Amino acid sequence: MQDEPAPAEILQAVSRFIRGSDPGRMTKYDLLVAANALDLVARQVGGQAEADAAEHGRLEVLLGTSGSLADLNDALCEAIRAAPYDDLKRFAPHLLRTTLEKLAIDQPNYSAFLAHSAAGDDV
Amino acid sequence: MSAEQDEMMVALSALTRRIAPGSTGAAAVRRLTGGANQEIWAFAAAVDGAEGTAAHFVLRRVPPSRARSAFGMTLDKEAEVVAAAGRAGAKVPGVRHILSKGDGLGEGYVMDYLEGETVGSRIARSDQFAGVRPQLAFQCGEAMARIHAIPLADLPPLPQKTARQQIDEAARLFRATGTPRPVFEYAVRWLEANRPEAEPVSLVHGDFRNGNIMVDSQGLRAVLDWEGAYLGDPMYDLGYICMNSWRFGQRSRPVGGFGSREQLYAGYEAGGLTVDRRRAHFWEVFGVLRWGVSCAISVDRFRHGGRQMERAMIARRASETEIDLLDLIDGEGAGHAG
Repeated sequence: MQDEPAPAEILQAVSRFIRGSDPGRMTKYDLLVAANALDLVARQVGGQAEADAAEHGRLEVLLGTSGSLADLNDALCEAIRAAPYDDLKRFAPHLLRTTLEKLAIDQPNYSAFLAHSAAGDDV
Repeated sequence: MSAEQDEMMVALSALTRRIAPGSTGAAAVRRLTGGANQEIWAFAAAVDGAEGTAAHFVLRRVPPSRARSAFGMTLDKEAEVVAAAGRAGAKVPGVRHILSKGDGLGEGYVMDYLEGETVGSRIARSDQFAGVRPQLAFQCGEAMARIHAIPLADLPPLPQKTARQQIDEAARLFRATGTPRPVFEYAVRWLEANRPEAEPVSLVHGDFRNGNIMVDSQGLRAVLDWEGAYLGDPMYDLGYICMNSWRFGQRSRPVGGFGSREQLYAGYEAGGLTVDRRRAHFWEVFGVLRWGVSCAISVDRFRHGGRQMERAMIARRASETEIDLLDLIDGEGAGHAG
């Protein structure tokens, strides 16, 4: 499940920024933030459906129930809050996989993501 | 210039004549950064109408026109904390004057203007600092020891927070968004199970990281941005500075992307205090969660605060903290600080 804001919101924020900016005062930094935002949206538009489907499938197996991705994540949170401490490790592989898929969209240059990719973790 | 700015210039010049005897007023007045409520200005003491070799200052303030909450840290308290840290030998800007009502500038304080580098990526990666990076983590540890050794009686009243309170607050904040965050829930379980028994209380800087330090050719020049200071477990500062988010891509150098934990701890112990590695590890994990929660809750601030592009992108950094949490809790060497 991807974080918010949603792609449409990010695109709107970039266009508002461009329309509202003073070319004389715009910095390279501002432009890079805008470029990163657009790249993120491109990755999300291209990759979200597959990532969500994979996550959904894993959750149905992990929790033994079905529902929307949001409902399943709510149920996962309840399960994590209620589980005996020594049972929590069973959630770790799913959490790792889901987080790496999120990072592939949000920030594929993040050092931790690169380290996991180099180690051969499935992304 | 607006009427408010005219008044400010007059008041600032009067103040400058008081804090820099012999000067004729304020010159080279410029705003450094914007904030919603807080303003930061640089200015110099003019001599005979020209800048000359005058002293340079920084003013942090909330203008008279803006109401300021009395909760938690105020600028007056911040100034007193920075001044106490300076007296204790920690590297901080010198506090020159705490504003009073009669100054007509609102609430805040004036400090010395310092020269140095504050951009974290440059401190971590630029060739310019290759010569100082080997000493820098040690110097940060020494600075932390000075800060943590300040007697509480030398400080103004500050918020005091226990580990339990901080975990509960972080959990409350992300759960209030209504969006399920399983990795954060997982981290809360770890934090609750690994919460330190002992709760020593010292001054804690609260945001001591690469990004809030100033570095020059001698190394650490100043510790900045004291608005997060509170009373609590001093190991917080030793854990927090090691967060992966503040390493600017230099993952193998835990302290700010420039140094090792061993160097940091050696500096701290050279400063006369003891490192508790387990507690430092706990606070590093907590720090990552707390930063992740800040990212997650900025979605609302984005939506209701003008839909600024940069804020949207901060909200999307929560996933960085999620991988860092999983690596700290389940990764290789998990549970072993070093």
